[in-house]
Amino acid sequence: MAANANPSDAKLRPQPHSDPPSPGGVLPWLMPSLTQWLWLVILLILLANPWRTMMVSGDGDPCMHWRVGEYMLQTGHIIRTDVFSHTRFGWPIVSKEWLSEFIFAEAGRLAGLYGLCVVAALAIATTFALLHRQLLRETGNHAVAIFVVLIAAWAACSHWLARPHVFSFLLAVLWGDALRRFDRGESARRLAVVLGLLTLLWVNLHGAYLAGFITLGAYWLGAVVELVRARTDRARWGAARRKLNVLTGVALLCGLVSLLNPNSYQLHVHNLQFLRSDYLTNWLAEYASTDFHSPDSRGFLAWLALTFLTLALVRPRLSPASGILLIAWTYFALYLGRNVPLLAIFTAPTLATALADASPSWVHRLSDRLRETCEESRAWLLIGVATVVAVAVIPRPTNMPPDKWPVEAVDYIKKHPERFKGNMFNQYVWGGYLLHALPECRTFVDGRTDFYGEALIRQFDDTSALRTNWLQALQQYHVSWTLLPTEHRLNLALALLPDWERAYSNKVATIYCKRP
Amino acid sequence: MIWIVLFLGLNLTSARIVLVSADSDPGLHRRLGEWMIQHRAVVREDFLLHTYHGPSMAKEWLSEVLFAAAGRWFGWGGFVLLAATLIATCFWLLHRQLLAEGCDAVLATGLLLAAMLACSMHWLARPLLFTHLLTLVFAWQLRWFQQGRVAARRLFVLLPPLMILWVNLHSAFMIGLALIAIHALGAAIDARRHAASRNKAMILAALLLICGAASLANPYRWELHAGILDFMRSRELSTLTTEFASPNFHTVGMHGFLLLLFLLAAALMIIRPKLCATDVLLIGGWGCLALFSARNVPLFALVVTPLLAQWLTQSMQANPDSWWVPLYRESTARVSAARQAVDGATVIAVVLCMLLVVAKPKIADGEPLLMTDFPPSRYPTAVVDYLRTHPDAVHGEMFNYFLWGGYLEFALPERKPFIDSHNDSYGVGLVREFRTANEPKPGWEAVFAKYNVGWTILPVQHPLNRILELSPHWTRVFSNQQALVFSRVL
Repeated sequence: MAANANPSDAKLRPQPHSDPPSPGGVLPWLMPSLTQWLWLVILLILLANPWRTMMVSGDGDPCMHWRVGEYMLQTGHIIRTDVFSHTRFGWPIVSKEWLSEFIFAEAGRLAGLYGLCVVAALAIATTFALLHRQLLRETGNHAVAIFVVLIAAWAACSHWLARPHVFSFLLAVLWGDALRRFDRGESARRLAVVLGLLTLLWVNLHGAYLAGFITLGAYWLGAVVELVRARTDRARWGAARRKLNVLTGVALLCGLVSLLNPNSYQLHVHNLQFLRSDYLTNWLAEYASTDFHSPDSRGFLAWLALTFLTLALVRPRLSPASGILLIAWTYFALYLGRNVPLLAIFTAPTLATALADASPSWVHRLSDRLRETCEESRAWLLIGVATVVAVAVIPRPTNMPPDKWPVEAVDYIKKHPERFKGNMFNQYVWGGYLLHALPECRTFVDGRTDFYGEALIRQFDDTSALRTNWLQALQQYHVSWTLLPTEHRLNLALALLPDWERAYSNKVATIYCKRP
Repeated sequence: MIWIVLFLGLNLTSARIVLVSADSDPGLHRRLGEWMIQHRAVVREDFLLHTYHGPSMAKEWLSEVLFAAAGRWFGWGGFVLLAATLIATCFWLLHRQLLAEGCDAVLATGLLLAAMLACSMHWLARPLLFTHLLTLVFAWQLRWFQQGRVAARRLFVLLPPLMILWVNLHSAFMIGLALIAIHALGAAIDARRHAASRNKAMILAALLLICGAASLANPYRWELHAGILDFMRSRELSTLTTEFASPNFHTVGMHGFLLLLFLLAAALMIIRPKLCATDVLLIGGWGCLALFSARNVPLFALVVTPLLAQWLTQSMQANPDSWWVPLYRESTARVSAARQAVDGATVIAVVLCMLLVVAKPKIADGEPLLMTDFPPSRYPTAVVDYLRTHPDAVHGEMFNYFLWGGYLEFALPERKPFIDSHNDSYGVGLVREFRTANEPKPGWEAVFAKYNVGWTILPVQHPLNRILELSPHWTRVFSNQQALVFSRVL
């Protein structure tokens, strides 16, 4: 029963049954493979409503990244100082995600918010299609591969938003694959080239490039364990020593390559400072631990159940690196809910390999049937055409829902610009939307929490929570109008101040202005 | 020794303050217990809040009476004494179980410390501690029955009476039924491979029925079960209390849970034990419940620790040639030789000494040797003193901070709070109204008008204080570093 889930022992895993003869003719060109179906289905689901709207309106960050990218496109250079807020105007910025902001802004220019959805949907669909291909290659079992990928997608789907982190998903799949290939015996040079290139992309696309280094660290630690275990066997010791040397060299190379970003080493310092701030990581909802009462967490719970049942019932022999990876990423996912997709991506091959090795005969039969149907497909052309048609045909209008976002309030402000000349105090989540929808007004705060820093966020929070010093930030930053949810407590306090008056209110948003 | 160290540690250190004041529920339980002792009846209608006068169930009447009796004799020191006894007994029993199952003293103590770390965030002088103790006893006996170490008759003699006790001590008695159900299901699944398990499944099913019937032996019969299930189904009610929320792994209190999860994962990967269906259901089921609600983490720890001990012990026995096993055995032998069991007389002497220390005000008057009370740095003790001396300073009904409800019910019994933690009694409607005023949101004045709220007692940083400061209809009558009291202008 004990299955061998060690990737290093799984070179070209033997197929449980011989391959069926390849069908000829036009059929392979017309019949998509399971991977292609998966790619197309995820893409179409994400481009259809309501998911399309959720991807751009889950929070204000998609709009914020679009606006920052648009600024870079307009000015022709990477943003170095803040131009969007009145609280930190002119302060130096560490632009962690300039390349993805640039891509999103280009897409936004072409098709508005729908363009952002297309970019994110392509990244997400490609991520899970690639993961499926990798699992198929490593397990040889179609049924297990699609089952594990679907659970992984379920676990990750609450984080499918049109934001730069979708590029991290894609790069994580490629990063994990490169490490597993090396573990199976592929060349060190290939590993160095692939990880070097991925590092170069990752440090310019998204701040979660540290996930790659953590995973590389898990393999390095695994190599150390193998070295210790092999101390009495000269041949194994030599191999383990070589592996450790290669991983050390690749880690150093990736470390050097990671400096090739507009902010050089300051990017790393900035990220580590942010992660070390307990106040900020506790304050931000997406950095919180998962709330398992929420329906969004069901997929994560299913992933944890799959992991536990695989370990308990299949009892796989995991390589040290796989074990360390599984424990480390489960911890990171429990600690921060936003790491759940990375947990699923990095550990899916370990679970799939174990499950495939222990699969009963009916799963193998199902796998064979799926292979007969889909494996010899050459339908990428068909899929490509279908995608282009789908993207073109699906009705494009994608808007921020006016029942959650201050769309009508923004219209009012645009119609009465003379009343809103001073500094604004806005709700945190609305900040990104306001950058995009109301570019003529500078925000108090938006989703760039790491840029604003702990001091300003504390001031903002003191005012929002009506603490004893709540007026201090309004006075210090010469705030002359506020744009907040109608039920926000600050509106109740402003209504009682003689020098403030309500300028606008609907079910979603209320504006208070200082009397002239 | 484990028992004495824990008992004295909890009684003599600042942990005793935490036990009674980590939240204000001890105040609520003491007040209810006092009422039941005075009236020699269980509570059937709420009398503590001014906002709710409907039926109420004292789900934990027996433990409230026990805590109140301890409070009558020894003040809050009595609460600590009872709580420390329960905690020490629970972990002493767990240690005994591990040793009796063949675990060596070093490993047993190490795992016990991990379990204690996971449980310690819920070491509060509240009826929940009875559930910890009874969960351990149920899990222990069921596990030994599953292993063939105890006969079915022992289960039938021991568990139904304990269930009657449990259902009157704490509302989480369904954990006992769930444990029996899991063992019955596990045995039924294993029956496909082992014929003997079928018999065990039948016995456990019968035990489940008998314990289910025994759980009706409470003052409210089946209505207690219905009320508890209704409460658990209502997310709005259960999320008002943070302990029902999922674990926040950013906090230090969750390090013990993380350690146990790490040990579990490492053991499953490295030792690769053969798990029976019951073990899989126990770990999976309690793990899931612990992820849903932080208050289930101690139950997970109590159920999983014996399994970890078993796997680690078997692993050492199966690999005697590993390089580290002889070293470990040598150190264990030294510790075992040094370990001396503390006899019953020492335990009795320690308890008597502690009783004398706690009972000093009763015996010789004056201040207690060990002060145990709600700390003025976290509770509005000065406000309570002020309102006692200035009863006319406020008029009408109170609006209070949620976490102070139990404290005010005990410390200021002449004034009824707006809300306390008994939200399972008063239902969703009042919780929503409380939230409207507490946020505050538009409509808070209507809530105040509905309940004739004439004064508020809230922490200094509470947002409602800022609204009241600005309002011409309210005036501040008291302030210090902990609390502000506002009164409606007449």
